[in-house]
Amino acid sequence: MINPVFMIAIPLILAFLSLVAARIKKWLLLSGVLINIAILFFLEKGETVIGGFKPPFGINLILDNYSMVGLALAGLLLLAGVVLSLDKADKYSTVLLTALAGINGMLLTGDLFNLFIFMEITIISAYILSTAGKKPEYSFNYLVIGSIGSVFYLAGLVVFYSLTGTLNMADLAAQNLSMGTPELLVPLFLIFTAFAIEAKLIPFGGWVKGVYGNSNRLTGALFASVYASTVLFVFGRVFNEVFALSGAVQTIIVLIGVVTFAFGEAAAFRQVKMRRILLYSSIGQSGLAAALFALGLIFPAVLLVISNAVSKFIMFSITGKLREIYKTDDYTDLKGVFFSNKLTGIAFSISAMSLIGLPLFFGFYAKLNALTALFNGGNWFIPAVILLFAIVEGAYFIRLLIALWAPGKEGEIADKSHAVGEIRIFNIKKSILVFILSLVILAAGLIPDLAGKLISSDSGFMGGDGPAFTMSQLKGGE
Amino acid sequence: MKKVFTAALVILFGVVLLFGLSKSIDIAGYGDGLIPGKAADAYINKNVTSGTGEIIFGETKNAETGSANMVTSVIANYRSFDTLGEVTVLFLAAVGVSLIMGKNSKEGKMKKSGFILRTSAGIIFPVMLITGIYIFTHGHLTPGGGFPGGSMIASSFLLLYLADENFKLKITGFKVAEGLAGTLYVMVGAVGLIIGGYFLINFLPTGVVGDLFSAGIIPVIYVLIGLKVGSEITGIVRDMHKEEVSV
Repeated sequence: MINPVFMIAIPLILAFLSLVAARIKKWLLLSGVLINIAILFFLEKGETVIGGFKPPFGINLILDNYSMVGLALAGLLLLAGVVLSLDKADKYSTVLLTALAGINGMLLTGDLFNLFIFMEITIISAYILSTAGKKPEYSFNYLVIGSIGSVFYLAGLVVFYSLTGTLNMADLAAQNLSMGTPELLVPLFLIFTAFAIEAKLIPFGGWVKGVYGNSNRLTGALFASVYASTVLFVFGRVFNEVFALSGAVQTIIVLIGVVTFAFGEAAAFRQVKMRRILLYSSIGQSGLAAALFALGLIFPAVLLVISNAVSKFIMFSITGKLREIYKTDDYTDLKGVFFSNKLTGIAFSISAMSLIGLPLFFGFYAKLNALTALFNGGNWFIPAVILLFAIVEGAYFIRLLIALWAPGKEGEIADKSHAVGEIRIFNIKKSILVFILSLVILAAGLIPDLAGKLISSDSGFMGGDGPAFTMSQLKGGE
Repeated sequence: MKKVFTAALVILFGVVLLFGLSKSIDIAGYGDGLIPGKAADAYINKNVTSGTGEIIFGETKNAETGSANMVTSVIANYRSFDTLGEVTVLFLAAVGVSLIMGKNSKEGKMKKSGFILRTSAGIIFPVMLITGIYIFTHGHLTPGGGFPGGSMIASSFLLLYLADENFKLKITGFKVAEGLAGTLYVMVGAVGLIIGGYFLINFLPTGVVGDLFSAGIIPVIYVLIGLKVGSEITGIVRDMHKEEVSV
């Protein structure tokens, strides 16, 4: 069994070495993401203490099924992103390797200050990647908003430390602080703000429009899938297992999530630029997942995050490539672009239909789970919002798909001459890669029980026998 | 409308922050904070793994961490993993600066500096360099350590840039130092995992508190951090210098 600390140490070593051996940095990046996936299956489950000092004095890493799902999702999508856009990733090899260490650290750590450090690493790498959009003002905007969020997180953490004397997640959770009380309102709010900025919740997600809207094939796909899902996974961990939400605080956070969902879907409906549509849809999905996490419905929230991450990865990759070829991402100018790119088109369509939540696709299973869990909890308001905006979502995605598939006007016979162009979007290998990714969504939707079991059951995921979904079993310190 | 809404939100936020913090949380005033009951208590008494009783400067042998500087014992031993992360944060910042600003291949010219600055730079430079090295090699004994020591080394190179308008730095050596120091830091952690069973464990004997050769791996780590921070910030100085001249 391999010590989970290598999930952080190996990418870091490779990142440091890529500075010395700049010529082979592309290969260092590739080997880094491959090793990351390879050792994932042999990691030691449970608690790993670092430095030999028992928690809460030292730092520990927690590998349960929850962090395992997060690691697998982020690692696989990062690998796919690097393989798909190696030409663009080459320049950012060092940054991406460091980001991999940061993302793994965020998902693994069992210490709130250590989480802050890894969040810093991850977010700074995102600032650097956002400069690939060649719009410095938006990168700077993101830098300022993100840094303020980090300061808020640190300030909130200082208050928690001065009240409890510990930074360890399990130790803090064991103190059973009641989050409904006014004493803890402000520090909790500060920490929530930091997460809300990264999770794109309203009104904290002002940076998203500029950064996602100017992303390229590589950065858009990574931001919307790897980064977004990591932040939501950590959000779920912190607000379920470390700070148990209740009372008015819970209601406010859930409300923020639901409002974000409604706003995101409504705003996406009004866009004609594909990246804009996708970014507002990302905001919406992120809001919904945050609301589910805040309500304690972890399993449906995780399903939603996974479904959204895979779909958005495919769609952002294809959109970025389309923009490279045709210099626009306005879908009214891209009519019939999938007519001569059937494989890529099918992958895009499967992703979109899964996001809408049509039956047979993984998104349907995720949404169905969310709705059932909400109804079982006696909640009717949020299901109503979800169903209402599923129609909106359906409308704008179907409209987009029709435009991209069908060349020519209504009533005309579709043929190549009406299509915007016949340029191949991806070469055959890359098309197949994207297609296989979309087949994963389809397969997971067709056999939902298998997919569900892989993720949920405590002995299921990757054959581990570590603790499933719980940190309270690991009591920290005396 | 948007601006009014934003202003209202900011004011609301400020009110919540001020009232919430002042009204309900009894944060101790300056100097009144209580250490007992917090994790820091064990750091100060060096009894996280085993109680050692009183720590006496110059006498106590083989104490946990063995660092006379308590802050250093936290930074480079109890929470060394955080410091590895902080080093990475700085590393990433330097990489970002060189990606954004380091594109210009030719270095421009600065204004000619004054006679006093030019002459004194040659005298001050070695003193600054040695002081920086002293600070990071004595991080476990005196205030300071890898980060301030490294910054001082970088500032000595900044002085050379300011003093001589034709000064050029061969950056390759610095990049190699930066990359190798970082790699060695992680390697030290991995060696600890092999020898002691824990990543970044202090596997060397800690000696007498207050000796130069004490505190186990802490001085080793601080030397590595000092070299890394020094070369990183020198790289940032160089990249920004190029940018300023060319624009």
